[in-house]
Amino acid sequence: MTDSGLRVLDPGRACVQDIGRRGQQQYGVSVRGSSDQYSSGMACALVANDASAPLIEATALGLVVEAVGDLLVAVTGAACDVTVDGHRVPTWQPVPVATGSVLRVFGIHDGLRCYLAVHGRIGAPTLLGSVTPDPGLGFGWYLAAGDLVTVTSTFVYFDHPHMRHPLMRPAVQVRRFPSPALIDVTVGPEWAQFINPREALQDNEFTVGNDSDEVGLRLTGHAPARTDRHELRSRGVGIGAVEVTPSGDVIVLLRGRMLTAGYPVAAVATTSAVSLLGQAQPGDRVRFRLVTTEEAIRTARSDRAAIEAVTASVRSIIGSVGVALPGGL
Amino acid sequence: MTPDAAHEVAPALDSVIVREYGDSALLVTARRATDDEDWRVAHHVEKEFTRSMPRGVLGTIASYDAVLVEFDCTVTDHAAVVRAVGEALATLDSQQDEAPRTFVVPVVYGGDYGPDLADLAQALGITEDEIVRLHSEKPHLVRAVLSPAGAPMSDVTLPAQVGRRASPRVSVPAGTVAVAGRQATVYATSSPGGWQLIGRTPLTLFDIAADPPVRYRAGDLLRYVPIPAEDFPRLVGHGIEQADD
Repeated sequence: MTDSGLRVLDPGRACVQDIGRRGQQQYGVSVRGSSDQYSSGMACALVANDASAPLIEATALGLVVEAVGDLLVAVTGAACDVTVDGHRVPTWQPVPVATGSVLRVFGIHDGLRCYLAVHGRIGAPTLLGSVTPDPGLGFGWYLAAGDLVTVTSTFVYFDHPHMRHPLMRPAVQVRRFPSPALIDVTVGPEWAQFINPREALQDNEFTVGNDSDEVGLRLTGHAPARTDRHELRSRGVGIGAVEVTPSGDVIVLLRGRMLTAGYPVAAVATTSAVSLLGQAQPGDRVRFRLVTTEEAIRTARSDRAAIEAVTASVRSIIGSVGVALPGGL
Repeated sequence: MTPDAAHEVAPALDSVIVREYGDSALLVTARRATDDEDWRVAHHVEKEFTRSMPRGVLGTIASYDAVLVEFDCTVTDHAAVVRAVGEALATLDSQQDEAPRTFVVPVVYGGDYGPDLADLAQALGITEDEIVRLHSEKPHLVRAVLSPAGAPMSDVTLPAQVGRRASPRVSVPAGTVAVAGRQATVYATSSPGGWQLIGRTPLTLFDIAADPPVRYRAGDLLRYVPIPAEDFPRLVGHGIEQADD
C-alpha cells in the first residue's frame, strides 16, 4: 500500500462524488450521487474499483491535478480533452499516470460532467455512508486549489509492453451526449389524466431552462394538457418523474429531488435516460420517446452488464501484471 | 404491456392501488375509508419494507396516503415487489401500532423568528396569540419525515387553509416553524421554502454528527411549547429531548 493522491492545481467546479446516499429517505434525505451514473460507474470499472467507490465529478469547467504517487486513472462522461504532461491520452480507457505528472481535463462539450476515477480508495469524509455533497445539509467536498485528495492504492506504475497490448483497451460502450437528447420514458401514474400525452411528449421538442440543476430540469415547450383539475396530495416522487405544473412547465426530477411533490406525473424517464439527463445543461434540447417498462428494464440491465464486463476485464488484466486489487481478487 | 395500457398492476390487493412508476419504482396508494386509515396503510407498508428490506429494494417514501417503493431493476422487478407489498398488507390488521414517543419543541413565535405570523393573523382574522394557541395546544402527530431533510409533517387546525407565499424565500433558517394548507412542519435544515413562517426553535432537529440524525419518526408526537425570545440563545444547538411522560 502506498499513500498517494491527487494534488488539485485548478479545481474548476469539481467535487468528490459517489453513487449516492442510499436508504436514508426516512430522514427526508435524498439519494443524490453522481448525475450520470452510467459514466461514473464506467469510470470506476475502468480502474477496477467497486461501483460505490468515490471519484471526482467535474462540472462544465474541467480540472487540473498533479499525481502524487503512481496512479491508474480513467476519465469518462461528457466529451472532453485529457492530457498527461501535455500529451493527449484517451478518455473512457484506463490510463497510468506517473508521480509528478499533471493531468488536465478540459474542453468539456456535448454534455456537462466528466468523471475522474482513480484505482484504489479515495479518502473523503462521509455522511450517512456517502461522500455525495448535499448543500441542504451543508455537506460535501468541493475541491479547492491546493487540496490533496488522498488515494490508498496498490497500483505500481507499469508502462511495459503489456500495456500496449490490445487487451489493455477494454471494449467500452462510450456514451455521447448530443443535443437534442433522446429521452426514453414510460407512462407515469397520472398518464391517463392528460390529453394525448404520447403525441404531446413525442412530437415536441423541449428546451432545458436556466433554473435546472441536479435537483431537476425545467423544460420549456408544449406541455401535455391535463383534463383533471383536482389537486393531488403530496406523495413520494421518483427520480425521473416528468411533472407538469399548472403553468404548463415540464419538470424532470433528478437525483437531488425533494422526496415529495404534488404535481401530476405524466411519465417517468428510464434509469438509463436519467443518466443522459444528468448531462443536460441550460439551452440543450430534449425529445421524449415512449417505451415499455420491459424495454426500459432491458436497457438498465444491459448498461449494468456493460459496466460489470469492463470491471471484470480490467481486473483480470491488471491482476495479470501483478497489481493487487482493492479487497484482493 | 403496451405503453398506453392502464398500468394498475395489482388488482388483487383491495386496500391499495398499485401503479408502475418507471422501471424502478411502484406507487402504492391506499384506498380505505378515512385519512387516518390511509395513512396507517401507507406507513405500515413502509415499516414492513424497512424491517424485511426485500432483495433489490432501495427504500420507501411514505407520505399521507401513499408510499413510493424504489428498487434496483437490475436486481429485482415490479412483480417481485408487488408480491412483497401483498405480504406487507397481510399483516396490516394483526399488528399493534407502536406506542408513540413524545418530543418537546420549544418555539419562539412571531417577530424576527416568525416573520409571517402578523400577516397570517390578519389574513385569518384572529390574533397572533390565537394562532400560537392553535398551533401549540395539542401535540402534533408526525405524519412523515420529509424534505427538506428532517422536516416533520403534521396537521394543524386553523380557521381557514393557509396559502403558500406567492414567491418562495430563497433561504429559510434551520429550526423555522411553518404552516401551509392544513399542514405544519419545521424546516429542520436550511432550505428554500414557500410556507408561512410563524416561529423558530433553537433546537438542532437534524444533527449530521448523530446517528440517527433525526430522532422522531412517523407516528411520534411533537409538543410545541411557546418560549420567550430571551430563552432562545441558551437553547441554541441543543438536541431534541423526549418528554418524561
